[in-house]
Amino acid sequence: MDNLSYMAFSKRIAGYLAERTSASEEKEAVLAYIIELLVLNITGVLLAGLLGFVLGVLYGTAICLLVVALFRQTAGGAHSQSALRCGAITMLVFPLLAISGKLWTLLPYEFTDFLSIAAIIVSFIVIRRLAPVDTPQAPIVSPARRKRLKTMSILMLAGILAVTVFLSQSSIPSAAEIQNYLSVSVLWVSLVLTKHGHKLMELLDSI
Amino acid sequence: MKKSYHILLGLFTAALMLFASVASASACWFAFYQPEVPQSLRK
Repeated sequence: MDNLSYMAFSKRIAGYLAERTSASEEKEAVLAYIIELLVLNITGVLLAGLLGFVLGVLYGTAICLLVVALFRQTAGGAHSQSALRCGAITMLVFPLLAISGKLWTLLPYEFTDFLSIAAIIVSFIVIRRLAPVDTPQAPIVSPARRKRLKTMSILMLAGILAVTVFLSQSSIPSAAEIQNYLSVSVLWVSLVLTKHGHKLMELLDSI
Repeated sequence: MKKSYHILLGLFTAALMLFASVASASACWFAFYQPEVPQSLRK
């Protein structure tokens, strides 16, 4: 496991669990991986939620987190090279997406529909061409799996389209706001699939 | 007490292993850092 680049806390907890349960070295690596994944993601949710709460956009942050989390499962995308920067990016991106969605609501309703249509079209083109985008740390080896993830991404976008149509027809007071949160989230998902998204992440890594 | 702790630890480890297997089916999670996936989970 020493040749895998996990953080000290993951290795330590995995080492303890492996020793107590007589797990093999390969299982110890799996434990370190899942511990690190869980801790990073839970910390990211908590930090983003906290900043969203402070900025008064907790509700929007939660919607953006949910949409992006669902898409990242199937579509993948750009990643930061550092866990610390990842925490900072995760903490900032989701409240910022929520703020931009909320600000868009201040415009006349036609702009909400325009943003939704633009977001769905752009996302469909990008997802169809690029998804799933993997990384050297987590390569997608099987072509069948790659195909399945792409199909699931497109189905998820179809789901977003259905929810968007429902919201645009509904009289729920915050429908336009939710519609905008969905739109900015799928636009973000599309951005991190592209070369520009990867360059943005490289730029943030170089700061 | 010690036996219960050992059983709990075993269950916790098994749950983590199961979760790792499920998590490996996805492209990635929403956080912007991807830990290296162990060889046994790559598909």
